[in-house]
Amino acid sequence: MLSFEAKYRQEAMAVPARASFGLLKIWIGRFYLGFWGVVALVFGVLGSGVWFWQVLFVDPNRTNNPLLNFIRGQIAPPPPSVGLAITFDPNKGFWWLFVVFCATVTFFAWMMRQIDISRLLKIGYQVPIAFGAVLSSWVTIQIVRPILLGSWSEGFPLGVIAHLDWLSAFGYRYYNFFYNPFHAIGITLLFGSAFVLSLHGATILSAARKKSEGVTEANVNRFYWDFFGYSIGEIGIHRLAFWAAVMCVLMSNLCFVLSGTVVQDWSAFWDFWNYAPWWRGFGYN
Amino acid sequence: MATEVYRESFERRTKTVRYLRFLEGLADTQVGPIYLGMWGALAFFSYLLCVFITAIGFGEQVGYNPIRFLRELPVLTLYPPPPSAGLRMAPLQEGGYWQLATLFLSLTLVFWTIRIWTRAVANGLRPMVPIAFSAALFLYAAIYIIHPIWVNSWNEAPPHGLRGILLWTNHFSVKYGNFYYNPFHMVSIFALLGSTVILAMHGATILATLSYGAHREIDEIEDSDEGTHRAQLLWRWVMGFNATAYSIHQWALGFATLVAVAGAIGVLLSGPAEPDWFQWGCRADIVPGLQKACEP
Amino acid sequence: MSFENDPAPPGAVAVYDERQRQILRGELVGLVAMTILALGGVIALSMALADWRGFQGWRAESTYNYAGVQQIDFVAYMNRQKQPIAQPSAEALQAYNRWQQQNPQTVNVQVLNQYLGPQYNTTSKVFEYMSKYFTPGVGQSCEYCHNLENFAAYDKPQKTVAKAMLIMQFELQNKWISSIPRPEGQPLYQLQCATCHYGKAQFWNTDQKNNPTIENLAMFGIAGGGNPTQYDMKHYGITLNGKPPASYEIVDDKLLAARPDAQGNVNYFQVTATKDTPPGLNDTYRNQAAMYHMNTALAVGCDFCHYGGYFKSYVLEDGTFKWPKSQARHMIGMVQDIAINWFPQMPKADPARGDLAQPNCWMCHRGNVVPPGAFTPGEGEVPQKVSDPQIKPLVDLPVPAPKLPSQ
Repeated sequence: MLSFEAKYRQEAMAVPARASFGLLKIWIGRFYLGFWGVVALVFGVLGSGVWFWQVLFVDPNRTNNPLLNFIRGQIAPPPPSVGLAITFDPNKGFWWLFVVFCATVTFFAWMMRQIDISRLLKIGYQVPIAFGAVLSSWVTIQIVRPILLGSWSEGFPLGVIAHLDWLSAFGYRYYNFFYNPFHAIGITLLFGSAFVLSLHGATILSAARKKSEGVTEANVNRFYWDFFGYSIGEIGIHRLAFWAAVMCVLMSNLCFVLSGTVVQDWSAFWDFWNYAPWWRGFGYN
Repeated sequence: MATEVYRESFERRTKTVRYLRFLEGLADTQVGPIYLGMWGALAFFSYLLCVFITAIGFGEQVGYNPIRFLRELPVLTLYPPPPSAGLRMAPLQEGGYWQLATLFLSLTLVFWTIRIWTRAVANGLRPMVPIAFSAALFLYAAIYIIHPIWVNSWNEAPPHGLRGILLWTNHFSVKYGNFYYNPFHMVSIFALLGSTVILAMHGATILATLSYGAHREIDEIEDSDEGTHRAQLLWRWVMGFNATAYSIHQWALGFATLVAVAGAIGVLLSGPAEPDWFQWGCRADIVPGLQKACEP
Repeated sequence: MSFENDPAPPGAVAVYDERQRQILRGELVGLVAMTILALGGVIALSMALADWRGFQGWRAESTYNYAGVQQIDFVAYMNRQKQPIAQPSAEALQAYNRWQQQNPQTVNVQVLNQYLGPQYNTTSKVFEYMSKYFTPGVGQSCEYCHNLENFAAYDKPQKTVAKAMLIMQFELQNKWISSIPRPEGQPLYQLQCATCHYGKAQFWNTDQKNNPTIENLAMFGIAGGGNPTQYDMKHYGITLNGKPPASYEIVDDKLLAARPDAQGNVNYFQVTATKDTPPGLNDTYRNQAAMYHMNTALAVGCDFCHYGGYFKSYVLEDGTFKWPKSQARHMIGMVQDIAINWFPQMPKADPARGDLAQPNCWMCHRGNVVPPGAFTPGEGEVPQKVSDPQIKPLVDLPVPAPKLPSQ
């Protein structure tokens, strides 16, 4: 327990943990438990247990020759012939459905747990909101999009390298994902996030190490005014951080869910530009 | 002493300050004063030259027709010299524009880094921002300069243009097998996504604890207050681990720097050290499935 | 050294107040919305469980639907393009009837007899073949090529051209289409006039190609991702008589120069580097321009032919052989053959018109995996190999050894 923690635990006991229905408001070591903690624990252990068991000890070829290599291993989604059926055939992706279900429940429970703890600490809900963005990404790619396309086989395989292969094949299936404008916005925000993170981390460290010399927030503001004419301020930088990261994920949702449903060919998508009506007046048809 | 001189000129220039009212309640509103200085001027003119050369190169391709320029802007590209030119200076239309533009772009980035350095020191800060920026500069140098020189051809460097940079990213990956199998690329992407996660976590935590003043980070590092306590307890209770107001920024800087450094190493090893990352993956036994594609 | 004497700028966010707390409460709405989005997936899942098992999904239109390839037949394709399907005119039919009565046995029918066998020795049989394939294929009635008074005469240049084209059709069929590597059960298609012509007698020449109006671009197929600039064309070698083609093309000097080695291996496109690959990305740019062309021409993604993890490979990670990749390689060989051996020596009906444009995938495929103008041959319509064709290839271009699944 941290030196100041007892006071806050005491305070938290007086706050109703509504998201958890007031159940299991206890701490186990450092962790807060709560109803959703139990749910997350049960499904998380179940899901990752099945994943490790499948990946390490079950050979995809059923030749009793397990890989014992969790980087190579994978749980493949059901084949296209299964469609949206819930199969119980372990050779046809039952364990994929099982692990995806467990993971979805775990992620949801984790978010509810964050809501709970935010309530107990009397702080805002930004952390569960940000986590909800990531959850929405998982749900979009593994559940919503496969349902829209009518086949679980559209989901990605659960494996370390296997999902990279899937990502590569996915991008090239729709011709070239670099031409997907939402992918472009998402990547811009992704690199932007790393850039903002680097600037913010470096700024605070550079000021904190000079605190003894009387450096304050004003120095930082001065530095940024000098640097590029604008200092966003200590609240603004966190607001920018939050929205850059969340929008990055939401844009990636969009770029996935539009591929194959609405747009089949992201490079031909741009043909509209060459033949847009506004060029007509200038002699282009 | 230098600080005093700077301070005086700042006060003279405060008249140039403007305020963006629409940002009220979201972020600070003051814009300016921006500092020029020698390094700033050098960076500015160098960048101006880079833009000018690029504009000439593009303009030549579209016959200096502004409408055609706008229409073709997404696909207009200044390509580096062809492979036959090696590392020599090429005629302007066959990569010379690219060479000049890249030269001035590189100079701009160097001047810009020096400028940040001098500004940080003049404002009493440690030069951590320019150090972090130089990691990105290293990635830039690896892609545009070191790798092409190593393989003896400017043609391996990215072209300049909206589509050109994407084409390069794509083709570099395809030429060297598959970049997803490049372990340094894996680390870089891990750090990139990790950066976004850390950014979201940190931003959300501070926004959630605004009412307790956790955003006053420089003070909180010295003497943590209720806001920081609540923020720390949030993560401790959620996942059993928490950073402090100081260490979260170390995590931040470390992850963001790793993106560029690991990426640069990945680029540098492609070609001279490993021409086909997929085959590397085969040798390292990380290719999923039956590995049938590994066979010749 | 500090600046604490500086006045706080107006409008700066310095302290957190009650109004901010209300804004934050508003952000809770975002959380609820995202939760609903997540739950929506679960609700849709239960709907799927109820009775969506036959649901095929909302996919963009393509003849390749990831469950397999569909073939659109020629008539359906022409109807979709709102193009009429030509019939022999009444006048021509009358003339044919007269001719048939005068000459029940064929007069001077050389090519059909040579390739399809002696059963094409009656005029009615030849008429059957002509009206089935030629008329709808090139969209013209008999009198376009024939002198209606004397069907055997060669007094119209169109007939000379048509004869040369027919020889090319049979030769290409024998050399390339019949030998295409294909899995068991996949039908063997046949080249016909319609496979390239799609109901237009003149459709593929450099005049149209160098005049990129919308109609002409549509005719030649528009590559996605924005058309290349003149600069790309100049420096990346994808040129057509020194002028940029309307879209990314597949035939360039490097493709024309590629030849199979003694083992029948050929590298039409360099994709993945090896230790000996010279530096530079130009080959990769060129390669991908051609690949985009194939994407557009067949309306498939790269994964139709390739293993997304490793483009070089002919098999997926689980060893599934990628027949389309093997077939595409074979077809590129045919395009090369057409460009080198056939188009340069084709006679021209109208000397004022431009040369034939370079062949490419779009010419026949038109956005389909199986060209709608390809036919399954009827009885007696499969050409035989002929030892001395009337038009000979200019260059001896061997067929590369087909890539087949290894056992």
